[in-house]
Amino acid sequence: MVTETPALVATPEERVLDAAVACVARWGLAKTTLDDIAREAGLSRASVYRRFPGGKAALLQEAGQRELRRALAELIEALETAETLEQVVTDGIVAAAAALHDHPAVRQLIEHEADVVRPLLAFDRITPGLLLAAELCGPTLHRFVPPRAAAELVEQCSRLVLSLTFVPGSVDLGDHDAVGRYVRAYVLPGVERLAAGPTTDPSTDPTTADHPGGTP
Amino acid sequence: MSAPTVRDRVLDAVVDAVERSGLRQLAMEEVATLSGISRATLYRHFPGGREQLVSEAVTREVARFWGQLADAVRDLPTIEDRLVAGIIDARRRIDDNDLLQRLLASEPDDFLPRLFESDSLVHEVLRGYLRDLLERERLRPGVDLEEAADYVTRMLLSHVATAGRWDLADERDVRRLVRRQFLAGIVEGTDPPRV
Repeated sequence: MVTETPALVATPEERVLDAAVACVARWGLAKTTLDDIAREAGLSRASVYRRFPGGKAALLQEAGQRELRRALAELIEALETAETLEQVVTDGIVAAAAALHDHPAVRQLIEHEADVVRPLLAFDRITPGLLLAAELCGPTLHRFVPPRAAAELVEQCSRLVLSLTFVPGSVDLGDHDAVGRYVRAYVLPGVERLAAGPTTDPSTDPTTADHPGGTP
Repeated sequence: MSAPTVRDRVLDAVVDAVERSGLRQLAMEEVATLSGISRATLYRHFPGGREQLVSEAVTREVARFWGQLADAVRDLPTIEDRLVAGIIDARRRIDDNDLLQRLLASEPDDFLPRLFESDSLVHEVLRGYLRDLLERERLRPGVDLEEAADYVTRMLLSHVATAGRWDLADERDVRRLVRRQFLAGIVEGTDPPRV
């Protein structure tokens, strides 16, 4: 693993991206301007443009990608100790939903700009985010399932987190037991026969005892 | 076929006008001319003016999209087959829809919020449709029909919106997706064979 030396002083690019996130958290996506971001970062508008020639849209997209990478890195760390596939998937969904919910900029978007955000989730705009999630989190699941199934599983869970966050419904993503039940009902059956070991925690799954198909 | 109602003629005219000159340029005058009715009649039917015209035209096109999709898969026997064919067909219809693609490319900020106005309605209608299909299948023990229909609705909408890692033009890939991720926990016999 490559260890990064923590930067003592943020680069101007990082300051701009931090400023963009702070502005969106405060004012939302639609109202945030490049001037706001420049002021927040303590830079001139011209120097922001020089670093991000694509303007507001490109800058916000890059800020979003960076936030996603950071959140996924934290998520992976939290999942390393999980002992079963059920645990890693359930913990992952709960933690990802919490990270989305607690992120100040995302929170602002969910609460005040649902009409701006929903379209961002359509027409393949989030495919890069889904692929990044699978690329970074997939290996966490290699202990339990083959690589291809792991990547597919991460994508499936990412979709469920987004869907249930933006269109709340059948399961409360903050309720660990409820998410565990949902995962056992809809997610694990598609992979359990591919799994390298027991997928579920016997103490939470009453069907394990009479489920001969579980472990080869 | 019965004669189109004033409403249909007007909404057809809205689509024609947007095809010609885009959403932002849309004017009541042009819609009146294209549909062959007076401005006064137009306002009587659509008192909300331009806003209402656009909103209703988009909603009607969305309803048509899903209606045509349901028709296209109507004769397929199982929910699995319908989902597989439906996903492939939906993605193709979206890619092939020139007007949709043009609006997405040139006027996304005006157009997209309109498109998602009917989102919760779509979710609700699909959930009912899928619930009826699931009811005809042999379900795994203990399946909650309502929740299962909601789950499949979410997965379907997610994949119609975003392909992610799947090749949604490839039947084998889509069938693998549907069996493994949509139905394995719900319909008997759809979970993958043991390796």
